Amino acid sequence: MTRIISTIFWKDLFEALRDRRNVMRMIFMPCLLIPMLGHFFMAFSENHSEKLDKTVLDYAIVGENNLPEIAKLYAADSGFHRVDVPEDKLNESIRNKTIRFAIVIPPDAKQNLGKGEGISIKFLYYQSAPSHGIVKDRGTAPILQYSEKQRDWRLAFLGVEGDSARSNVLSPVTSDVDNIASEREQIGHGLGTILAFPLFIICFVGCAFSAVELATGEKEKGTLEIMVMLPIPRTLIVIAKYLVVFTLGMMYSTLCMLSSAVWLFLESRNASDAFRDVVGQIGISDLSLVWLMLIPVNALFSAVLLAVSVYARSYREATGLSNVANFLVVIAATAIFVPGVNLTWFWSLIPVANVGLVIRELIKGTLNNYLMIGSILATTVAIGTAALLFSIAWFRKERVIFRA
Amino acid sequence: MLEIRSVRKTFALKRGKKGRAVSTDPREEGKFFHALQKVDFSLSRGSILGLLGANGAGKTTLMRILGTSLQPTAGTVTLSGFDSVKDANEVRRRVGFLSGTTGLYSHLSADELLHFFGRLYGISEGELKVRIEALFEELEIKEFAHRRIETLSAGMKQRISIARSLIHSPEFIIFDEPTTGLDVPTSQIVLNYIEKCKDSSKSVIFSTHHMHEVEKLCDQVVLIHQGMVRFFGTVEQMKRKTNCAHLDDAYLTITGEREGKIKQPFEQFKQIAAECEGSGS
Repeated sequence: MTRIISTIFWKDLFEALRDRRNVMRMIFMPCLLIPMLGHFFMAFSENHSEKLDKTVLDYAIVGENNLPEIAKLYAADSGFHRVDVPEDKLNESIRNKTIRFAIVIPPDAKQNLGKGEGISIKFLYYQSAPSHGIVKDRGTAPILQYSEKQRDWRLAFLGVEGDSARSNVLSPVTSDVDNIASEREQIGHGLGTILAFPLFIICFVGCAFSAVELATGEKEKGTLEIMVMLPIPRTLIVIAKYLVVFTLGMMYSTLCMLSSAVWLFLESRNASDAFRDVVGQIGISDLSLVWLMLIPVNALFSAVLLAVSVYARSYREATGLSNVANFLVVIAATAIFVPGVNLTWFWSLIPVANVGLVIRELIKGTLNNYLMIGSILATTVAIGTAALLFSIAWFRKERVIFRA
Repeated sequence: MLEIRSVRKTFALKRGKKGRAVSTDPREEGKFFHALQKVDFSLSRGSILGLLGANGAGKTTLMRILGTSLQPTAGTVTLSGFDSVKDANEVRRRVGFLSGTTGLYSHLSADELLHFFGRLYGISEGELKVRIEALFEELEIKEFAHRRIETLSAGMKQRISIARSLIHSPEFIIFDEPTTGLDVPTSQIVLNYIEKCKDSSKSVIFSTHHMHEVEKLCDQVVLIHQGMVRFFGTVEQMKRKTNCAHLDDAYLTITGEREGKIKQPFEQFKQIAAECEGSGS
């Protein structure tokens, strides 16, 4: 039995590694594509923020005479450039990017301030992305600056002078906020999430290519017909093919992990101190555990994709069915991005997401409940075995073998 | 001895194909297609049997049943006393199969391919080496035995396919159109090999559309038409039965295509001529 499995396994693996397209894919996708994409994404986002920080922002001001001091503050800042826009065209001008923001000073602003009352200056800008607030921060800075000046003048008028007295009046009760999460835990949360996703995709792609080639490909080439005419149990053929798909998937993901580790190391040299410290804290043992967690992922993907490929009648159908499986994987993997989703007993039962959460905990250095790994393995074994049994059952059916 | 008794094979047709063209094949019945209907014949050791029939007649289905990749819906196939369903592995050890649809692992060399299949047949390494050497010699594969199959010509590939189907020294050899698409020298190598099989008491069943191959090699002929055996006997008996001097004519007479093939164009010509006369042109 072992002899049969090993004969088919080594032949299939040998053949797969002789296929130039396979080798190119294996080198290009995990070793070059992921680090390149990561590097360009980081470089682009850094460059974009930096650019936006330094860009001269066009703005419009309405009611300048209502509070000329504010208008002067904007005019004095070389980071702003005033554009004349009528009040009824402000929204449109911001939307079509003629200006980046506009301020509308209410009538009687100066008089109201003089009376010791508060005023509200309208600040208009466009921001659809929730995390991107550079225009707002830069654009409201002069208003804030003027407000602080007014506040200090009023406090001085009331006889409150000196930093301590001012602070006691303005913030009689403060909360001393202390996030006890270490830097590694804070940065590792995002880093672990970002790392897990491409690892899954690479694992999936690696398994998909080999499964389609080994099952549907052999069906199309007519070599599967010869295999089923051999005096060997068909179950062994399926097991051998499963092992090849799994091994190739592991090769893809191992290369992806190694290249990601090298990329992280190289990227951290130019990154912030905190980021560099966190990368420095991720040890070989953490990475080894992350690699070990890829075993159940690959085992699961191999079984499902082999079942799909055995069933499919052509490359085209196999690719279509793999895309459906890929969609499910992406949905499951996306769960780890949802705020509040953490490694709990419930999530340990959800395939793919469970491994993603463990990888994140490993990068954060906070994986304490190793029993959950048992739960993850049990889920993987259950689904993987079911998929493998489907493959074996389909492999025995004439109408599936000769579907091509 | 190979015995085929009342073999039938029915395939379920695909569901939900409302737009499919109406088939004129009498074998189609509702959701089922009766590819083979009550096939009976036998073949003794050391004989060569030619399987004749048009494309889609059921030859490949029958050969696949003999090769055990398909199971008969009814009837039995026994080879040296082993049932093709109950003792499938015993039958597989005794059958060598090659069809137009079987392929090769293109990234391996002929040597690697034969080693792979030999191991799966459980042949010891020493014996395997001897068999591979002999096959390479006989089929003139030696000079390209270590080149990757993907780089070889169709003729070279076919010789490797034949070597693959013979690696376990089968008693019965099934060749489905082994010379189709081959050049004359390569076809000659294949045909010579089939002839030699007879001397070594192996039985060969081969399908072909080339009647001269049948006349040259076959002891017996089975003619399948629309899934049924229309003739089983020797080449001479087939000619005598149809009063034809040539096997091609005998074939067309038995299948009823001879009359149809000649009549149909003549009727069409008459119809066109009548239409031309009617229109006055």
